[in-house]
Amino acid sequence: MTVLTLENVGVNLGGKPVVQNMNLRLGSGQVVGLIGPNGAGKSTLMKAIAGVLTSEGSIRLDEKNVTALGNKERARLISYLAQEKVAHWPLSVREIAMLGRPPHLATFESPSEADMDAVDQVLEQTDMRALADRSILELSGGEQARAFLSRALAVQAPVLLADEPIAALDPAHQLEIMALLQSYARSGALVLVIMHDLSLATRYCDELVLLDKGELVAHGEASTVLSDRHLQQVYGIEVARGTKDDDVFVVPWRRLTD
Amino acid sequence: MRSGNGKLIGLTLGLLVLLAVSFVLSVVIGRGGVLADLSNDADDIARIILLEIRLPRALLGVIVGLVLGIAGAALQGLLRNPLAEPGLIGASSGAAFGAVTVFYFPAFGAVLGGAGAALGMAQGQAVAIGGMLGAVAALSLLYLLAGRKPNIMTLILAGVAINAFAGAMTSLALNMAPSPFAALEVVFWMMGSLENRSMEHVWFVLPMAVLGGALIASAGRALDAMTLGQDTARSLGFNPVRVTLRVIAGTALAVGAVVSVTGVIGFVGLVVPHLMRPIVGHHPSRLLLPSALAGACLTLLADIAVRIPMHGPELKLGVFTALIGAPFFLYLILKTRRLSS
Repeated sequence: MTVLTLENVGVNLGGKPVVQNMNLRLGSGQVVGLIGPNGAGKSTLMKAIAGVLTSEGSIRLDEKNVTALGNKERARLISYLAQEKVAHWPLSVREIAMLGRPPHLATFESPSEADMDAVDQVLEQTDMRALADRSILELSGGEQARAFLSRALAVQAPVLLADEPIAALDPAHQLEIMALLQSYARSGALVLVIMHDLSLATRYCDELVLLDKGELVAHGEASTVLSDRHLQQVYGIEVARGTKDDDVFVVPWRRLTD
Repeated sequence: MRSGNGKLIGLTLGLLVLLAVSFVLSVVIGRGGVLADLSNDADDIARIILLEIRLPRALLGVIVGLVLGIAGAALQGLLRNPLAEPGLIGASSGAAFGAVTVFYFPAFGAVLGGAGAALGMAQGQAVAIGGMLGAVAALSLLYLLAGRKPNIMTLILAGVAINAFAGAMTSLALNMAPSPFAALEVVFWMMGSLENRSMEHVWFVLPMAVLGGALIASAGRALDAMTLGQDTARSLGFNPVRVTLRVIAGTALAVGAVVSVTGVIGFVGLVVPHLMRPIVGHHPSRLLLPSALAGACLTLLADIAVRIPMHGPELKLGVFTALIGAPFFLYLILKTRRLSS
């Protein structure tokens, strides 16, 4: 099992601490939801793990110090789906997915048959084979989301970081993407996903990490992390709880005023 | 093929054949007559025309086109802007100003010429060295203005500012010209031409074109990744700041060197990537090689076209490419406007 360990991780942006004293141990084979209000430091923490931002403290993948790895080696181990999901040129879905392969290629090396097989396999998983040669700009929001996720999956990294992969999607596509992330995790990867939907978080995440004001508030199973006390303290809301198929779900109910 | 490599290989081979044909035509056709006429002349005259006039001209045409094509494609990829070209970021105007400075300050030219000679260059390279320095200065200034973490908008705006400033300084030099003939000499030089260039010019341009082209080519895959935004590119193991520096430095070297020798040949870098996109797609890295080859073909063919009228003053190559390029530029703007609406 692969373990991602964060010890005293901190990130400063413009001289201000945005994430501090972060200590976490996350094992592979599961979906971990990174939740918290806007400005809690979720995206910043994720960027630090992905190597997009520099950080203090130690980030290790098993025994490897991630921050000391070469760019390419780190890119092979940690795949990152950015919050900003854009394509500045009208590339095809297959071309977008193929952009997950450069970490496996030398500077002037062309993608091999194995790289193309990997991309085909991912397009199959994300159900994008039929749209593989279509331009990304011609697709619907849900299809675009699956195309960008295909790119992140095509890295075939043991750790996948996804920043709001289901934002702006309709409920059917939200369920579809979460199920995809879950199946990638079940294949042995660690999937860390930022999301705001608490009911989908309880439904699909094996563990939740709750952040507020750049600090860790709670980490564990949904039932303990989404306690009334935490939700009041962090979001200032009251929730309704229910069960369906033996799963507990949480629905934001009303805002608490002090 | 799944990767679309078949199309790319086919296009590359097709362009290589067209380039070879254009090259031969460029050597064969000229105002001194076509090869058949020349063979009636005394052998040494024909030899001089072919080897010392037309061969360097054709070789220079190939290098200039390759450089303008690859730099145009890379800059459009880097700046994510279909209207980008080497001229936009100040490489051409910087080189032109550097060269004009040498025209106007003979003492400065003598120093550069001396320095060039000390480095083993042939005599008469002062203008080229001045142009080269101008391009490097312009793009160094661009990088300084854009800051340590350059973003696209700042790069474009800084490029526009440098362009305007270099243009103003060039105009100032023309304004202060000691005689109308001196001004005319500079104006003609700036129009851009491959006429009367020698093998010395080819040797001057070649190493910088190769080095600059290699720098640009090495950034190809990173440009693809940057299509998905800087954060994604970083997470894929690329450093967008270094990639930007590599493309700008490569452009400064390669475009600076060619403009220093030929004057400004505009629009080739702008037009060629657009001609290639419908065939190879929008991947920045896949556009580099075809754009370079198509740039070389276009430059050679344009340079043949300007030689076809056998009488009257020869049309300058830069004027001719602008005559074709400007309407195409307009067409692009209209097409972009249509797409965005």
